[in-house]
Amino acid sequence: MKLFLNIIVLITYILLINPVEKFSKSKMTTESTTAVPDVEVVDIFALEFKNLVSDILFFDAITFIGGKKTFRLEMQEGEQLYSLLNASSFLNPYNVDPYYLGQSILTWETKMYDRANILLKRGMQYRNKEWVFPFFIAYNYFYFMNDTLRGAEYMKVAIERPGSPTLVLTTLASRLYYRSGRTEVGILLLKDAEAHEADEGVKKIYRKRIKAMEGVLVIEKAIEVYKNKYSRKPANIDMLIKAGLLKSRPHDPYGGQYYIDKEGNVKSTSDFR
Amino acid sequence: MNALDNKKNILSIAHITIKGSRIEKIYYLLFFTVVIVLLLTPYFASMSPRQGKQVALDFILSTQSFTGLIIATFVGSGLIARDVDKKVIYSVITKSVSRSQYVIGRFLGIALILLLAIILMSFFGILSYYATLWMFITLGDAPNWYVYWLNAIFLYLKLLIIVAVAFLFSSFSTSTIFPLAVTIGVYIAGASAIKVKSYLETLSGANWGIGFKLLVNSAFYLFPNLSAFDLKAQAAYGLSVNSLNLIFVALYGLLYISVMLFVTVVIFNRRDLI
Repeated sequence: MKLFLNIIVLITYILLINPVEKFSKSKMTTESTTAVPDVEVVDIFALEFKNLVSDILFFDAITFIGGKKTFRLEMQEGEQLYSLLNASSFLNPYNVDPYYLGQSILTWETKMYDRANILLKRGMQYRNKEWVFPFFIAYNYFYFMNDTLRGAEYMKVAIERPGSPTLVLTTLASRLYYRSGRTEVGILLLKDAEAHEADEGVKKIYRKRIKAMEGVLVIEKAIEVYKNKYSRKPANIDMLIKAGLLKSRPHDPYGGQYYIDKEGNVKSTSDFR
Repeated sequence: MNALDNKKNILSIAHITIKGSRIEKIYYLLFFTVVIVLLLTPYFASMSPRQGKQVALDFILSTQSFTGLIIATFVGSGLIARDVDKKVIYSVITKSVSRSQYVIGRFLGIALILLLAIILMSFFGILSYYATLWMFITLGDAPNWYVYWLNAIFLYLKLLIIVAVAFLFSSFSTSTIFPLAVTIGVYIAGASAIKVKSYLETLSGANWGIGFKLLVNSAFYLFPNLSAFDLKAQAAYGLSVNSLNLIFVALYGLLYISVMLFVTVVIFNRRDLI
């Protein structure tokens, strides 16, 4: 009798395993659509274990992405991923994992550039020796959000941080300033970098770039005067020379010819490359 | 009663406490913890793409804290309360052992148990770290072991504060559950008070009523500020620690423990045990 009872209990248990597992799995899919509670509340209740909770939230984010059959993420899923990464990095802002994951998924996949930048700005604040975070922010502003000026500003922050590839970033930033109509700021940035550079070869590259940008600036200023004087845009550089606003056509050190495009922007056939 | 007798009595109570810890199954818990940490740290660290070292240390240090907290709250709140409840206390304090000696002896005993537990867990923590390193080579630079041990020292102080709080509530309680529940409450309040306080100081916290703010502020000064003893992030992320601040925190901890024990002795001495 006793044995019989034991067997019944065992069989019932085995029979129950599957439905219980199914239930908890179904709960997981419905629960995962609800966002993480308020980060401040999580922060208080995590007590002294907030680093661990932060790690677990990040692992949740990874399994959330990894659990998807296709790599496409819907907008709502992006929000959910953001809330996980946001909570994780709020609890432990020193952990770089959420920032990198946010940068790769929230920008390319879900096109939530401002969300990615919110995370990256936190990373920039706490990991204040690392240049990649301001660089990513600059990249997002420039490449995705078409905000070249802000992009240039964050690129400048990236340049000032130790270990950054100064030459590449400085020329990139000066180009962004030039594209956003702030050629002067770009030149200042280049001059500053040139003055602080020890290597003579790199100094030369900076000087070449400064000269090219100064050529742009001279023409830009002449265009401004022309517009004020004649209340219209000049069609080409020769008109500026005829009006006596430019002595001669500036020389592009990259070997191209300066010209004014249809929008009135100063460009060069070399594209400064 | 001379000083030698005093010392002898305290030590014998401490000795009894340590012997009793075998009955409390503390060693099983410790063994379980170190095995879990040893087995799970590599798994945990492997989940992080760039921060394996930090995640490994987060896990190691959090389990140390958690196990320490379990011992401090459960054993700490049970020691005196159970002796009173089971009437063991009569046979102890009638024999030339004063009530204050009994309290100090009990405290010394659990302090030694906790010291042993922390040293053991810290060594196994380092072992777990190197086991992880052996399995996954990409952990980066070695962690700052100096801050790791500093964290262990401050964890120890924190646990002693919790034990002292548990003793205080056991000194007048008639049940064994009451000191346990209150100690857990004090721990939660002590670990989160600073966050609630700083939240109320922000703009979004400004909407709360003045009464609530007064309550939180008084709680902050009454409960031990346990978050100051937490150096886990500093140990895992190599953040700088200000030694002057640490000295203040250590003094604060020692003072808090002394006051708690003093009040415990005063209340316990006046308590009518019969």
